Amino acid sequence: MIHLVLAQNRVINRVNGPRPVGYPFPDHEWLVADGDLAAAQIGWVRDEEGVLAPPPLPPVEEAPAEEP
Amino acid sequence: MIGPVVIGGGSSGGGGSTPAPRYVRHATETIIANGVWSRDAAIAASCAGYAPPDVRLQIELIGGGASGSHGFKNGAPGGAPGGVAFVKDNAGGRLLSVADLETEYGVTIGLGGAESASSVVGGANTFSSNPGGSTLFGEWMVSGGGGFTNLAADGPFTPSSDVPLASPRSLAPSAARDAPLPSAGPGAGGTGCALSGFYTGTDGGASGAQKSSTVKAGGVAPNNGGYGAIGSPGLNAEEDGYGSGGGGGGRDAGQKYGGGAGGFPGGGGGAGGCRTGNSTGVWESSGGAGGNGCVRITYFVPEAA
Repeated sequence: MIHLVLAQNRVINRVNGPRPVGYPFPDHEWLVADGDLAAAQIGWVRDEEGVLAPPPLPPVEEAPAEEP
Repeated sequence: MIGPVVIGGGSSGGGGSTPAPRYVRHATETIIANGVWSRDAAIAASCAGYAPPDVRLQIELIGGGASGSHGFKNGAPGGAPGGVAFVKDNAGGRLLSVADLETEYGVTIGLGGAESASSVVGGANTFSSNPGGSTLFGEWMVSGGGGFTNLAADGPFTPSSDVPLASPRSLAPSAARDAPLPSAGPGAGGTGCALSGFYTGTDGGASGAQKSSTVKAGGVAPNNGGYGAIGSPGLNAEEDGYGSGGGGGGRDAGQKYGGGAGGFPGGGGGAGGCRTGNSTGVWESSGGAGGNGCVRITYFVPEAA
């Protein structure tokens, strides 16, 4: 079972299995990566409503497609 | 107690003026899922017939590889390989004595970055990959391959500065005839093909290995010439090697070709190709997933007289 590891509302790790005994970071939060959380990746952030999403990106300047 | 993990190379130490025992590789244990490693049970299982004080261990941490980026107009970058680290004694040696290890360690295995779908970021002006997870053995940790994007900085996870590392204690270096000195780590992923110009990506990076027999070539990118294809996946390691990188995706009319997945452990995924669809705009193929990380423990026993 895949778990997400969060620190300060940011996903800092994706790991294979539950939190092991002796895990050295007591302030890290572990969430099961299923349902809506299955797609979450390292770097995603949790908002005030508890929703995980990729961090906001700056505007992208679109350029016309080029053909060879 | 042993000192903190040191990333990268370093030797296993040489013998002093007093002849040191010589050790030979006996068994390898690969841990792929989280759990608790029990020193005594592991030694009993891997080194039956040997007294635990006679056994030496090499503990290697490999982080997950990053995924390749989805397609990018100028050719997307492949995924970075996972980091590799060895638990070392305070003298820099990699062969650890049983007496200097705790009885149990929590093990956390970092996953490879998931396939980077083309829908993550629209438009061919961007690229983005998913980082690989960090792998931990007790308090020791190695980062996965760092994710990247041309939109925002996103480096690999780094350990907190307040990690309560145990006090290191000096250990006498040991000699090993079969000294484990890898020439390289996992392979990086290959780049994906660009929107215009050359129609191919690049091959994934080969993996290094501790034995020549376990070197793995990177995944192959499709040939140029308009006949694109998906990048081949990286190859998995055998007993003691690393995963190679996935090949980058190519392009062809009417098709989308993604990058190959990275090999296990730690290989970076190949990047996806990029092309222009007939009526659907720019297509960005998916970047291949990174290879998962692991903890690999190699057991050494005294060389027979």
